[in-house]
Amino acid sequence: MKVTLRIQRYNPERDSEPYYQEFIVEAGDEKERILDLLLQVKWKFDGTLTFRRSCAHGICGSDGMRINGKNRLACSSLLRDVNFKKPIVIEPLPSIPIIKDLVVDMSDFYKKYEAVKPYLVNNSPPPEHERYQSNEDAEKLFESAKCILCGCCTTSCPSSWSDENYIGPAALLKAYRFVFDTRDEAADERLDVVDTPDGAWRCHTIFNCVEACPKEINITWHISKLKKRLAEREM
Amino acid sequence: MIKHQYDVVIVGAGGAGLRAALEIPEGFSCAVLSKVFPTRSHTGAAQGGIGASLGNEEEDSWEWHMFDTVKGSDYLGDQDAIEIMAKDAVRAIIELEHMGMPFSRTPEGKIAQRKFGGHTRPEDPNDPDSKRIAVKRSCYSADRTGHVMLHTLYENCIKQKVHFFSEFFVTDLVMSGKSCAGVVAMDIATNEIHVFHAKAVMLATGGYGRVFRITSNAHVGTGDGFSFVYNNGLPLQDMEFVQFHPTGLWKLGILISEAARGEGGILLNNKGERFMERYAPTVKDLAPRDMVSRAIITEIREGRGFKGSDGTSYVQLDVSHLPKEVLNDKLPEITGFARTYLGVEPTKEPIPVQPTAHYAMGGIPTTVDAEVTRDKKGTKVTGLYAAGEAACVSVHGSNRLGTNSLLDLIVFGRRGGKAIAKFIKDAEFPPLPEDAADRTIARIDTLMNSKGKEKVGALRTELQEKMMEKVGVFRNEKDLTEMTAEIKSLRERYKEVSIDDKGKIFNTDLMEALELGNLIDTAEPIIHGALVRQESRGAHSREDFPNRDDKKWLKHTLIYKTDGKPKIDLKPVSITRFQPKERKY
Amino acid sequence: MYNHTGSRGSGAPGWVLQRITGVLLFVVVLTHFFVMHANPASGHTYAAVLARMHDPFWKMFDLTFITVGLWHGLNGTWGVFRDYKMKPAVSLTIYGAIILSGIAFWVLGVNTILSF
Repeated sequence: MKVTLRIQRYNPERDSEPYYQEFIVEAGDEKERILDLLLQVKWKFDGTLTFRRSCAHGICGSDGMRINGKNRLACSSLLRDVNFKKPIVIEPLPSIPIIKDLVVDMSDFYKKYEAVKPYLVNNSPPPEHERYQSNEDAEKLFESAKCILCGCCTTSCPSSWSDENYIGPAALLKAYRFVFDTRDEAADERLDVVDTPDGAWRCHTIFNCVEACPKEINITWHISKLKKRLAEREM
Repeated sequence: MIKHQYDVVIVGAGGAGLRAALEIPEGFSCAVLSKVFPTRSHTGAAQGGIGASLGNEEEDSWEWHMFDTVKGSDYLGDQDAIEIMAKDAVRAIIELEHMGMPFSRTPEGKIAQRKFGGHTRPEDPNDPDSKRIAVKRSCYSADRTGHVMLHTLYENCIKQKVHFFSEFFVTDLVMSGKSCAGVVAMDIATNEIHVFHAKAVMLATGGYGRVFRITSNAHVGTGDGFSFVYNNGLPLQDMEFVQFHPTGLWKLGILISEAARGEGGILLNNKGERFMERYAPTVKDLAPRDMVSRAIITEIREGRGFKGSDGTSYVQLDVSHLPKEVLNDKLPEITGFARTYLGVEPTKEPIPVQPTAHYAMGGIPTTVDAEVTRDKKGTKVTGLYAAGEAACVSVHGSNRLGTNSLLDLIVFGRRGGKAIAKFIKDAEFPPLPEDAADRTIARIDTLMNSKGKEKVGALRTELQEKMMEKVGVFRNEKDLTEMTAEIKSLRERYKEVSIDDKGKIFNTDLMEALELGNLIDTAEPIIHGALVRQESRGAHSREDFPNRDDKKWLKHTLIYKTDGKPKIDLKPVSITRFQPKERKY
Repeated sequence: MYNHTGSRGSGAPGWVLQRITGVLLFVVVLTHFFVMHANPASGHTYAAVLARMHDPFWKMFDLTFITVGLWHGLNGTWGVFRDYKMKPAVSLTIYGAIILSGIAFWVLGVNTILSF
């Protein structure tokens, strides 16, 4: 079956601004990955088409892009997940600088992630065995620890669009991951980072992040838990 | 060309590279180069767990772990190295936990463990010779163990302010006489060539799964490190041993972890038989991977597989009888894969699976401290280290047990890091040759200016399909000889490759062309090793030599590139505690 | 580029107050509608309303209503505006307008309530 991809192209060496180009590709069935169709374009029609990809099954987080107006991973979106009767529109993640075609500059995203001190801090001498933690407490972290840093959430968030200094849902989720870890001792420092107008308070529960997250993490719920924790600390 | 000088350069930011980086003491400069952002490394795709005899769920000991690893390796693993790994495993896991890795837990709050293929204990703990039964040894975090481990290690690198060069594609080693003096890399964002002058270089470049058509490996698994070493006149070890994971998702090769069988999943043929009962009566579906993969292919060849719409055949992995909580809490990712990619609902119906190229047992020969060696006597290459899947210590011998790969990364990554830390204290920078980057620049110029007719995608697909067909689970002389000629012709045709993208910004077309070169470089020793080794051992199964031949082949193969046929050398196996026995489960 | 600006005032009090005033408003608005529009027994004539306006309880009730309502509504309005990218001058003007109108309406309301 023939499917049309309408891909946003931009090569800074050649183009003054992005434009769209259509490719007609051959898909086996509705279970074809969008990533495989992009690879087909690159390998058969136009080697200059540029995008990131690696694991091809939604765990490395390389191929976040906008497919028919929704932020998704190209490798975990199948044809049947999108309307393929019309040309499938593929664009880079919105609101961050484009490097080339579907490749975006994630450096700001990573900087925000690093700002929340995304590592366990525990300065008391460790026991000889593991630090005990109930399965219940461990499981509180699992959903947030699923994050693959693909950037789909932060670039789908209207608060991020309007305020580039907003730390964004991905970084807030990472803050949750450590603030609520019973083994961690630096919750306060981390809460200081997100307790600013550009931190957790910029989240207005719009839920775009939840809709965008390819790992189906309820990010807004996690941010709300953080806000509650901040409020408790303040009072 | 931009020059840098660092005491240490680590190539690859997966488990081994990151773990090594954490050992470089303050006061020394260390750069970690990776062709992808560190958390995109393929360590993150590991699912089932990390093996360690913590004994949190039932009695266990490092000696049993060692025995299982030796037996799993079909006695080709070096027992001195395996002993180090099995003993160090407990400490290594505890250390990861202290670093913040989120583990699943037992009711007492300890790290939870589960069963995994090939991991056993004596039924009567006091009688080491009693029947072996499966043991809970795999420490896990749902079925995302590799993912959280990779993130935890990266997080600790941020904490220690490790210097990363992300999206830098290393193209070559810089050799200065008999020592390694650094690496050459291309900044993907700009196409600029960088030369990193270093006292010590560690290759933690991962595997080569993409040599094969059906693979669980990421697109980045192109055997880069093997190629650097091979092209610089250094040997590769035991390259014929390629692990095919028995349960790759049909058509796509995506890994369905052994944890699915560890939790109680079973394999079925088209008669609905639990066929593993016939092949491994004691541990059944939890037999080691090489055996299960062979069993699946045998079932298919004898007409008991299912015919898929793509022409390939598969068997079924059934987890539908497991409680919903087990599927949701312990195997959420893989049930998700079945739903997403095949539209199969694993709680109700079985998952179609087939063997998928998964892991390189062989690789760059190293000592137990990750120092690269250049010959059968174990002479070290000054300043060059390797760890992880790229290296061959050898702890996996001819077949790796599940959960031992992540363990290998953190045990030998750390040991390598420590060895480097010791080495750089007194070492001087070796002189940097003037022509360090010449070979890379020439390669890139040729590709950028080539008007040849060959295309990267088509050539790569051809290589992958032929490797799958002729150097897969079962091998024979005819296929391997044909493949030897094939690889020669592919190498010739590679010279005619041209690319579409002539630009300087984020040129992935160029990168894929360079990677294809690495794939061809890596395929050659795999094929040649498989042809030379006239026996069946572990993952290497010759139809024309169906038995293990300890007299002749209880040896590691070392393979060197020459202008003609690669040169083979044999290296002795370290046997300390366990004498080779027939391998039955 | 992301630039962490440090802790310059937590949003916590505002966030908590918005929720507390929300709950209060729920009660106050419902009571108001019930008394003023739904329940004939509470008296909807000019005299009945005038009598209530003189009652200290209802005075307190109305003062709460106007304070809570204005704060909640204007804080929410400001929240909506802050979702848009604005030049500092525009932002300051809107913020000023919201504060000023808040004060003005509050003074007007309080003045009206207390004049009975």
